Amino acid sequence: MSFVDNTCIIDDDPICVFGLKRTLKEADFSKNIIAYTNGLEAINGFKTLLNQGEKLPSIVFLDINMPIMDGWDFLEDFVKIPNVNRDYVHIYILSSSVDSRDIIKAKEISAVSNYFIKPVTKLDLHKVIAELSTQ
Amino acid sequence: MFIFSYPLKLLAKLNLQHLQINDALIKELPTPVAVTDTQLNFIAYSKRWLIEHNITQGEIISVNFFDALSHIPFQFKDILNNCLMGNSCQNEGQEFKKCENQKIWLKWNINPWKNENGSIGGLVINLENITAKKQLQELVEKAQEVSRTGGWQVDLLTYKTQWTKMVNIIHEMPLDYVPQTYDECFVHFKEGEYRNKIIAASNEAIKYGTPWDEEVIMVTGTGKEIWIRTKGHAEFIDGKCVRIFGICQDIDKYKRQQLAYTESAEKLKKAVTASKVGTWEYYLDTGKTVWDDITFSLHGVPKDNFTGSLYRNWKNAIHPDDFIEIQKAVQKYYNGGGLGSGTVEYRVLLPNNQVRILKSTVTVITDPKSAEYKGVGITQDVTNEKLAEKKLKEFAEITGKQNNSLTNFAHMVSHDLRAHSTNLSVLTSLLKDEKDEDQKIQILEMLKSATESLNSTVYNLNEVVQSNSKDIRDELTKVNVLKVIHTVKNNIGTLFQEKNATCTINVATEHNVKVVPAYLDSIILNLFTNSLKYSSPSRDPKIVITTTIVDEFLELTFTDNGKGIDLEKYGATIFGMHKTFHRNKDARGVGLYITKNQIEAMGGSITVQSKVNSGTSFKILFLLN
Repeated sequence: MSFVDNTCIIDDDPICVFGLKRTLKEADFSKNIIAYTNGLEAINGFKTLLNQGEKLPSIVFLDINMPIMDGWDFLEDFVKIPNVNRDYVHIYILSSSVDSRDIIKAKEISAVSNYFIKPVTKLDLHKVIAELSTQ
Repeated sequence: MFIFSYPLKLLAKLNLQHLQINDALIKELPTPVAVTDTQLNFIAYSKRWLIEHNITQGEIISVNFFDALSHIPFQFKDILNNCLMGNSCQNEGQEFKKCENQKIWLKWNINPWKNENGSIGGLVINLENITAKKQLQELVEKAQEVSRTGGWQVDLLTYKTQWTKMVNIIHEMPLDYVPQTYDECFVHFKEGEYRNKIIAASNEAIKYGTPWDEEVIMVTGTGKEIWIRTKGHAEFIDGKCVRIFGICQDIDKYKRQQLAYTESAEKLKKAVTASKVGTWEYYLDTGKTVWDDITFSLHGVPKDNFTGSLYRNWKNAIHPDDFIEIQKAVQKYYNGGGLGSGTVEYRVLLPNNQVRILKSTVTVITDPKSAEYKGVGITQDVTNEKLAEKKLKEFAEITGKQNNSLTNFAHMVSHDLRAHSTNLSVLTSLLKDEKDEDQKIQILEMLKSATESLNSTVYNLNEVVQSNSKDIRDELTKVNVLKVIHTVKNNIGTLFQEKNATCTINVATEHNVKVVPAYLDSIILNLFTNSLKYSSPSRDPKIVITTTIVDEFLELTFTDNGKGIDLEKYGATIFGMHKTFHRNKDARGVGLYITKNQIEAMGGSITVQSKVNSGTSFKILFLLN
């Protein structure tokens, strides 16, 4: 049985998405996986889900550098969604960047649970599982 | 009050007859002389007597000595009484104290006279009041002492020398010393230069009567060397020099001070000259200006050959762009009241068109209580310092820019290269474990695209390094802009067709620029692909390219109707390397960074205007050929 029902990947790099999907499947992390190629697509997708009366994915892997709407802008818009609908959503930032400024910025945003440097490994996923299970 | 009575006068006459002296003769004697009887009453006197003793009441016959001569102190009576005893008495000058603050000097010659019977009939008194003479003499002596000046003379007939006391004192010789020969007069001058000078001077004086006035060193009796002033004159009788005389003044203290002052003034002058600090004064009420030599040379004004006022010369020397500022600054100190001061910097335009930067520290004294109503200051040449400062600033700016670009570069390497390497490693590990052949093919496709991306990134990094690492300004060649635009556009013809894009080119055929040809190709290509990549999905791409000449530049405007860029958000970082504000599938985020680097390396610049969902317009300046 999967750890969560719905997981979302927001990343414009198809190879990254492909890789992460494989890792998630191998770890039997999530029943369903949705992928968006940028922040705007994701926000719109979330709104559609809410309109259809469905729940938001409980885990979101968010890339920072994306066209149209990047990760930071997505977070700005995301926190405007009413609380009841996003309280249980855990956002993990993914980045190729090892730039400490990005990591610090990520940690300052309360909606962000953690920060992973690509690639996301099975070990990373186990950490997520451990974290969420203790809550 | 005197009582004159005939019998007494008669008696006096009788006495005179006894003396067998003519009354009228005594009257006319050229000396202050008087005859008295034993009671010291006057029997006769000369006119000079009255004048000498300042007697104004007229006739004093039969009047008592001390009644008529009230200024003679009473002690004098002892001398007179002694003479009445039959003694003669003579004195060349004696001081008497009349009262606390008054002294009198008297010179006398007194003889008793005898009656026919041999008894003493009275006194013949020759008495002079020499107080004034004595005071004058005292004054002269005092003056000699104070001025340390003595007199000397040499009689050339006898070769006898005379010195006043002060000459001995100056020479530190015994007071009774006097040179015994003519030559001995000169041994006191320091041997060599000074002695020779005075021997020559005295020979001249004796021969031609030329006086001398010299400052020389002499050696005193105790062997000390001192500075004296010696003056000499010659006296001639019948064309022959009979006497030389003059003064000798001790000027040692003053002369040494003067020499010390001259030396220190000389040193100061040297120091000031070496420091190249000019000093000046400007009198506010009269406009009088005083400059030292350095101030002249600093302003490039010839000291001995300038026309008009110095103020005007100063004004003309100042760089025209700086004068108003200087005037304002000085005005401020002037209006400060009292003591306003500060520093002004200005450029001067030298006659050879060189520019020199001067720094002047000014103090303006306008305090009404002060007698001085002027501006004073010092001026220094700070050209080298200013140029060094400017260079340093430029250097700091370059360093800052390079540092910034290095940071960007490091970020790019850490992010973009890392993204590719991550992908490659993920894909290869997936490939290793994959059993499904279809999946394997899919992964291999991705692997191919990942390596291509890596290749492209490395290529871009190389471009960045190239455009930053060398000064290519010398390698610029003439290139026709229109030709390049057409060539690039043709190369991406397929992309144009796919996007259904149109392009309007308003570029004159004769517009040539100075560029690195490969850079210009790359810049134009970048602009085209950017416009097509970020075209609006709701309309066909339209590109307009125009050129105009702006000064020494060709301005190329590249406008599209694409998605636009939110400049409020990305304006500051749009040309930065790390900001991928639109990351389309094949966007690498460094395109604009490279473009900007290449343009700037060729001496141009790039600016951007944009409106989201409306379009973007780049303005690029290239150096005209």
